[in-house]
Amino acid sequence: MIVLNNNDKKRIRAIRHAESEALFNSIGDGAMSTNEKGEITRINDEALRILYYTKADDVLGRNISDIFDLIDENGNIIQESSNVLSRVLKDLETISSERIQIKKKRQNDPLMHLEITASPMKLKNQVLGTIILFRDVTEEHKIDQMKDDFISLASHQLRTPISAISTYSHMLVDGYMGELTEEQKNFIKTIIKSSNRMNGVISSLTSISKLDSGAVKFSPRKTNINQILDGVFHENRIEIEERQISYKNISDKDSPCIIVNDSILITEVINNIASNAIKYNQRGGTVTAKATKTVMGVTVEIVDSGIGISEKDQEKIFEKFFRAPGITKYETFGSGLGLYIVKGFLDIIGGSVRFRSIKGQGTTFEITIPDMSNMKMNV
Amino acid sequence: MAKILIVEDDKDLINAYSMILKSAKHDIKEAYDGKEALKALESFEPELILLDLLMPVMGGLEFLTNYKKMYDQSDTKILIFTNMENSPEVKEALNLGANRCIIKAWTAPQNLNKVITDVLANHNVASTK
Repeated sequence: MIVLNNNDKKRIRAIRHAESEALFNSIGDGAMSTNEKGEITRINDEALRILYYTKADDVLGRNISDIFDLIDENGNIIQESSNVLSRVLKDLETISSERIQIKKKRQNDPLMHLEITASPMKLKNQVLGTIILFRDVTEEHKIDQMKDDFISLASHQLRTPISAISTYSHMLVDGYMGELTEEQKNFIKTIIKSSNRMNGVISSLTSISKLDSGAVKFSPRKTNINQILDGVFHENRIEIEERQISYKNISDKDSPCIIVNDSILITEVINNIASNAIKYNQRGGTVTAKATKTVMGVTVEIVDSGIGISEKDQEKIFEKFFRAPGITKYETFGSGLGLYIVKGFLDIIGGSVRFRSIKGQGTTFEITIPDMSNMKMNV
Repeated sequence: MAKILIVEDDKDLINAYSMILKSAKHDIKEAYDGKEALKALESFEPELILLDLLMPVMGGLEFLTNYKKMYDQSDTKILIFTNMENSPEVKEALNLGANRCIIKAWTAPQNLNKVITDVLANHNVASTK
């Protein structure tokens, strides 16, 4: 057994302290620690550089809230009690790679975007403070913003001529310029289908880009799920007619499903599931849809009599670009992005999806969408 | 049926929408941008405004902001008709008081008439394709 004297213990403590200092100062990102009140106790050179300070003495002992404010996307200061740092200190939450916007309290300092990872420091049950790592992502944020703006503009510019193609084609089929023969109508329906496909590609690419860059904004408002269901299947009616699919909405019309959530994201989710139910179906097959109000929100069930999903493929269907082997003989056109988008959007709106499927017999998708008014959201 | 102001800068599309809505017996006035639309409102009191967002001179959001200031007591329904899917502009328009948003590229004539009927009858609580 080794017995250490006081000098040995002092030396070991000094070594540990030197190791800790060297480690702290060699971290490539900005790093600082605070006490339980949020006062800065330690800060490395990279953190000083990011925050535009030259000397540690200018910030040590000061509360983080004296150095900068956290700002929301509208440019308003987020109250201390509800900002991300209080989640770490008071709620003892660990946050990882979260992007925040800050405004330094010194005059004329610009807004910055930081990516932070922070965790509470605890000794047994006592909160000692926090460790915060961060890096300046202001430039990356600007580039992401420019990319989003470009994608929005490009998708809008591509969609404008598609709108004209689709609208005028529909008007011809609907007889606005006189009655057409069945053959003429079928020709024009081919044009409509192709323009719908182009739209689908643009939608998917726009959604994927926003999902992957974290740019999808959640905007809950009063939403009628029955209307969305009707609208989605109405828009898919040409495919439904062509494949002679028998479609039925068996929702209880006397019990409308009106909740508070993001109607635009919900529409995208339901459209992707509905589109698959139609595309990967037998000719003359069936699709039924049902929206049911529950205590927590709404459940939407879409059942098809289609080709089904093999057990082997079932764990992969929400992966990006996944298409089941052999699927092209049913539908050559498909990006493999639809269900990835479904999962991504459902994560954002607080929903979930599950399914059951038997190869050769069909698939049932069940989407659960929460009612945000249960969570006292302001809309 | 109803008095509708169509605000759309693309001439091919505004011609098509006019034809569609006139065939459903609506009384139509056309404007090619937000500024023209505000001018049109001096002599035309629509029950519904079909509003594009991305337009030259004055876009849909600026029009909506001005419209709400000038006609804040109005019962006129605002239907956003755009190709900007799931964009901050659409959400901003809904926050400014637009009743619903539909995507032009996805909207067939029959569906446009149906949505307009729903919005006018105040059955609308959703924004959809």
